[in-house]
Amino acid sequence: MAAPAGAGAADAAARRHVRLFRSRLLGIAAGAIGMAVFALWCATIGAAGLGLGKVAAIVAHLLGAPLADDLKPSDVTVVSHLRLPRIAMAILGGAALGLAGTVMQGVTRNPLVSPYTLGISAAAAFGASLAIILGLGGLAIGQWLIVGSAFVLALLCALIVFGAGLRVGTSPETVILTGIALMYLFMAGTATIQFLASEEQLASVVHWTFGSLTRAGWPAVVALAAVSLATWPLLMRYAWPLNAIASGGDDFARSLGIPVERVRFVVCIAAVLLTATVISFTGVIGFVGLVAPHMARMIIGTDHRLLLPFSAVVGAWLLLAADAAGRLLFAPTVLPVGITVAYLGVPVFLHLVMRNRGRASA
Amino acid sequence: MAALGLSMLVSSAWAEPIRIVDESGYEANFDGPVKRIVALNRYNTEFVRAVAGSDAVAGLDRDAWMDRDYWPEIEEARVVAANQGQIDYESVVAQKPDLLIVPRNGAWQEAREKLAPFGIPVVVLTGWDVLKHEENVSMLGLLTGNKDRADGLNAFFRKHMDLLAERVSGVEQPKVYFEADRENVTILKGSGWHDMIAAAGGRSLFGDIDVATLPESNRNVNIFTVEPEDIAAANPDVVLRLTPAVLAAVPAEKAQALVAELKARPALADSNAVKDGKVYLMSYYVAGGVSKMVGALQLAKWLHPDRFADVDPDAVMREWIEAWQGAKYPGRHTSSESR
Amino acid sequence: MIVEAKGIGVRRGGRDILRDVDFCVAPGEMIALIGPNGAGKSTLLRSLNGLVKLSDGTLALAGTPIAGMTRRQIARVAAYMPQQAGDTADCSVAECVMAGRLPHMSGTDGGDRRRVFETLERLGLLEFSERPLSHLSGGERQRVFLARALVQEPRLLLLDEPTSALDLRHQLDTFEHVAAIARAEAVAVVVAIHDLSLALRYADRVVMMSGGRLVADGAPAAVVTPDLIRDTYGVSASVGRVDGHTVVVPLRSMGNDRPAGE
Repeated sequence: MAAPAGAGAADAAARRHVRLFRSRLLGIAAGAIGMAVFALWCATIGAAGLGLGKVAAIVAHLLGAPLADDLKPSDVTVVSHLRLPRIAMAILGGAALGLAGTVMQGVTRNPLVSPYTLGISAAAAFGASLAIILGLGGLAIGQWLIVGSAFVLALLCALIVFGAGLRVGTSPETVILTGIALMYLFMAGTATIQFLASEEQLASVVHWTFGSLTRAGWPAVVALAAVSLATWPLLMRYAWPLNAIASGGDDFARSLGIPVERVRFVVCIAAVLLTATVISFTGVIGFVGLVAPHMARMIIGTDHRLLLPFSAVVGAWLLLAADAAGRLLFAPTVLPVGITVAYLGVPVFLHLVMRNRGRASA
Repeated sequence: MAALGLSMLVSSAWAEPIRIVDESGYEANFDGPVKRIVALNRYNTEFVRAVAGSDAVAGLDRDAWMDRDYWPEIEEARVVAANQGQIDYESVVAQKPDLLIVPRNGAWQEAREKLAPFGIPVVVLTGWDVLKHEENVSMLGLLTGNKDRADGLNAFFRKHMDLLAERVSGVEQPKVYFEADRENVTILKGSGWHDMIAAAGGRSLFGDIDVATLPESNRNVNIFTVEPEDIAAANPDVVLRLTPAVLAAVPAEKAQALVAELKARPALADSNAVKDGKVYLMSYYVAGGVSKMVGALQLAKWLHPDRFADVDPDAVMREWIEAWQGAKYPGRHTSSESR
Repeated sequence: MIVEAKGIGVRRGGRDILRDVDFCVAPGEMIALIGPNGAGKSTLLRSLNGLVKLSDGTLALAGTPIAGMTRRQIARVAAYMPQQAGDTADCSVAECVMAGRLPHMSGTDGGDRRRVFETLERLGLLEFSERPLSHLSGGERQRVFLARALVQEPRLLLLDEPTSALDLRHQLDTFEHVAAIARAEAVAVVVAIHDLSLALRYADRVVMMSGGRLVADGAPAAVVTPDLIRDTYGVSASVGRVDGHTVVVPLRSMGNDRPAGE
């Protein structure tokens, strides 16, 4: 379809471009709304037998309406204390992980990068295990100490990765290789702790390592919301630099006036903060950070102005779906979300790998 | 006098507040005896049923419930967790229990936090810890207002443990090769099974090994992989092999086949145990019954038949299963060559 | 003068990669940068827009010393087309080219978008505007990168071996485009290139480098001579005319006594 030569051709193509952009924007909005609806449905899953109507009534009550006659106080507590925090965590956590994965892949130009391959998840697991074996778990604020320890270790790992980068140069290769090396190191550390641990501590460590949304309560949700609020606008501001770096390479981006090292540094710190916060509260949830960016890219394209928000939406969908699947498939047994997300994610990922390989030779 | 007696009668009819302090130092208070308990981990569930009956079991985990022969009266709706580490709190709440008990290697911290708003206390009670057996049983008795029954169970336990201790004192201890349910997997000092063998007047074949000298990959005292040559070199006098933990007994042909396979193994073929025909099978249920008391009794009878001629471990097991658990005893779970 | 470089040098790890280079480029001039591998062509190119920091000498872009310019200011003057980058995201043509507007982007999309699509039209890329780069042929992709450089509205175009991977036709087309733009918009162009015949044909001036130094700087016919080719490349070549164009035909490599480059 050759474009007709003429004054109007460029304008027509430009208008087409705008229409495409707007329709994609609409797609993101639709995805977000769909996710909200799905989240509402997920809020009805559980043994307490509270369907959509009752859940809605309870939410209304929590916002100030009087309690309906057919609802008991324990029903309200089930929704407010067991279900809602879990759903909120799935949405915020999935969004955070999806976003973190996308920016990391953009800034390293490597589609196989995720918070996991930077060693952060392994470091967080090691931090939690350390706290548990030091007996901190038994203290009154034990659970917070474990969370704190996981978070600190995750940040430490990131610092080492970027510290190494500063000395050797923050090329994508350096970042990735250092991250993988640290991942193995922390995994070995966790395994060592598991050997030294008493049976009870071992059970605690293993329990923590299985990513689960059950553990997280409202304090966790609030903490994650705060970190998200601090980092998301920042990342959106870097959307165009990310476009340039991802599509043109470091040198080209620099030649455009983009401070590539600074962008990489800030973006990775933000991604680390997001990931560390999520994992400190939920345990290790892999795959969302890896697969959500790819799925988002397949649907919405590579423009980070659209990709960033959409990968958050996809990430939230993934975690919600994984949690729902874990709850429904073997009811009343609840499969931890860290497990189901892999079952959902692996087939998708393999499919993507096959597709990419087919396309790589152009 | 009469007034005193009357007031005592009256006060005992009134529910007295109950206060307990659990393993984690947590203090729980109840206005009266607890009627509905969610008990996670099979050993906990067993004790609750023994002390307070099936109806007191408001919830249990799937791992335990899966043995349908052992819990036929408990319907699936009472399953509230996959195991002691993966608990579905909504199901727990739906069962409206007064209390949740979890062993110390379960997710009790998480459970406490999640169930606090519902006013359901979480008590750490480790049923599988044989050293705490009597203490645990007494606590359950206190909690459920079944002190008499708890005392009875403890007496049942104590009577047989005392008998064992008395009769094996000073005896020559045969070397026992204990095999868990996989080939070449045995136990070490520190495992409860090691203590069971000692209580039965035996010596665990690898009981002298210092765990600290072992490589990291093979240090679990309950699952220790051993080289066949080491077994042969140690030359056990008795072989004790455990069979799967279900209530139904191992079918006779399978039992015979297993015994034959054990005897044929190169590591064991020349041992004293095989030569003397002392190869025994015991199910986990018997071995673990009443905190391994039944296992010890049965093993003692095999090790020192002359000293335990009057003791019938089968009857003890039957009493545990039928009188205390209210389940149907399907018959012996032990086999040896001579049977 | 768009570029005024005096005595510039670049030192890395004790080695002189570039030494004592004087270099000027006027608006509308096309300069071909030739020389063996390792001669410093890429380094010179990349120092002209500040990608490589100078160890010695002064450099001014459009009259302003480069040391006093922010990266963004430089980007508004100089556009850089690197050699084919390895793994990059598979963006659409329009998206890719739009990135070139970054140094100028004001926030309102309208003006930027118009310029992008006008440039796409000029280079015959409109029909591909929403297609991903991987669906394009090598030659089409090169045009996209050129478009991207052009929307920067540069006064200086720096091209690092833009035609190495292209077939005959696309080599010609690329140079035709660049030459036309240089002429029409008075854009200065510096092209690092291996193909001596192409350099002869399209360049206003040829600069020959060897071992980090300038060996010759002048009219193509004066620089691309058998003697200089032999001295710099270690190759015996013949320079002749075919159909009105001057071409270079390499005859024979000279052996080990005159190592090329160093």
